[in-house]
Amino acid sequence: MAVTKVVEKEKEVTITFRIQRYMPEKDEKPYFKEYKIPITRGMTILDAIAYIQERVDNTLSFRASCRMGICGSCGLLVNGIPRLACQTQVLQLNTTVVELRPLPNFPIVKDLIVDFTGFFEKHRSIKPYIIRPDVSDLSDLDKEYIQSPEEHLMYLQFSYCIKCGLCYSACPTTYTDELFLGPQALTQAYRYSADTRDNGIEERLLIVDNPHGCWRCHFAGACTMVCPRGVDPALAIQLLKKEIAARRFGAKPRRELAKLAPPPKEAKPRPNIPKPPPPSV
Amino acid sequence: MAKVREVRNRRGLLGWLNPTKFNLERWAYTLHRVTGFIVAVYFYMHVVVTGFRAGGREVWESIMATLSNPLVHPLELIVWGSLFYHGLNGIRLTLAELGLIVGKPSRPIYPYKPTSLGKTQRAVLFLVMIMAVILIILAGVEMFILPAGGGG
Amino acid sequence: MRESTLWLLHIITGLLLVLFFAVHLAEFSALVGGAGYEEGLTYTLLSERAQNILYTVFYIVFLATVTYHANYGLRVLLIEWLGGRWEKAINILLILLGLAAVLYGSYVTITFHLMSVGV
Repeated sequence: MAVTKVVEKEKEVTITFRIQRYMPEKDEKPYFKEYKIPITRGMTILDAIAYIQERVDNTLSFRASCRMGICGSCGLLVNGIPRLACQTQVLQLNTTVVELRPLPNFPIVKDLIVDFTGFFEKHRSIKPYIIRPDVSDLSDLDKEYIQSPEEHLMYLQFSYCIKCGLCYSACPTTYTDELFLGPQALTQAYRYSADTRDNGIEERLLIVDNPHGCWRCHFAGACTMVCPRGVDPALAIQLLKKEIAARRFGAKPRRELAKLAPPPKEAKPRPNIPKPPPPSV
Repeated sequence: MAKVREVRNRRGLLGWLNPTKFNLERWAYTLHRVTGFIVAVYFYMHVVVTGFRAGGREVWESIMATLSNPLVHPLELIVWGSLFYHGLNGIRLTLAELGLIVGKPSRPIYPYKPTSLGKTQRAVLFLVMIMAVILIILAGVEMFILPAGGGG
Repeated sequence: MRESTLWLLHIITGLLLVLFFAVHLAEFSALVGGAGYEEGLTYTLLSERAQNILYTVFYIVFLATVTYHANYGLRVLLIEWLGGRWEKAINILLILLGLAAVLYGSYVTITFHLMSVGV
């Protein structure tokens, strides 16, 4: 049977985009501007705003980089829900009017661009790096730590965070409380504390155990709902609270610091594997 | 250069009160805090009102006569409902915050199914909602239907 | 005090309150009986109940537990709404309010117990 391919002309739909505009030197306050553009199947919100910028209104500003959900630059409030513009297809939304606003809880720089300074400062404040009792461990690049797959799985999920700020803009505590660390920073506090290579859990638990730390999370779960990477910040924060509560009740966690693996011995390559080419640089 | 106004763009209190488009737990969150506030306000009023008994029989009977008002009953039902919901949901929150019903970290594979909003936690949430509704209905029957039936 | 201590107390008082509230409800319905809850709540009945010292002690403990739970909850709401502004004022205000409620409530309960026993 001959394979026949029917090439249909892609249907075009006209969708109205209501986009929040704001030019701080010029405008009193943010306002909405409407654009009607043709959308075909598969076009993402990012494609649509790029189309508007190229062909309709080149004063529109937005931020994007990888256009494939890795860099976390293109977070927007799409019809009231924080989403990555590059991972949301316009026709999936099933509406004829798409409202785009900059992520809430971040100060607006211009149009759809927001300022992440405070967000990154909070992230930095929880010491998002591996803390070792002996710093020389980390500088010796030939050595590595021993960690079992089970131990790896304790934090793997939380290490997928791309710092896109969607959870931070969805969290209802962050709506009003500017000092609250936010789901992202708290999740990272747990991610590094749950890592067996890390010895800084005591330090980090003291940082998050403050009036605007992890106890201001009341498990609304909005962070988990909007997370584009399946990180589940709500889970991490609850586990963080459990860790602190257990310690306050005197439970000493059974955990050994991951040891350094002994330096590798002379390795013999298998016979039938070809040699790598010589380095070109 | 013109003066630059900073737009903080926080959603604020109104955004906090509005859980539309978000998940069920987000609704439960707003409801939990609103009911908590109602119960706290009622508690202080309750302390003051029940305190009138120390004034003696006349004072107590006059305050009870003031409060035996058909307008007070629906308000009381709101307080009862708030209490039931807040207590039951409080148990769910305690279980969740101590890490008992939120599951364990796992390898996220698309489409992601976060365990903290997963089956166990949702089951507890639905149980809480159903029990709260049943208790509110019972309280309503006790408050409005039984006295009207002539039981007195 | 560390926030975790305050929060754990909030959780513990919360769980205790589920129990205390059930006792309060059971005791209250047993007291009022089949009568409508307003007509049944007569002064004589209250006086009889207040003669029991257990009742007096239970209500003072109940009052203190509710006060802590309610005031920590109000503090959470307020410091989140105000984003850390006037945090000290809120703490002091709520501590004073809580103390006033506990002291007034205990005073009423104890006086009423003494009144009922004396009469």
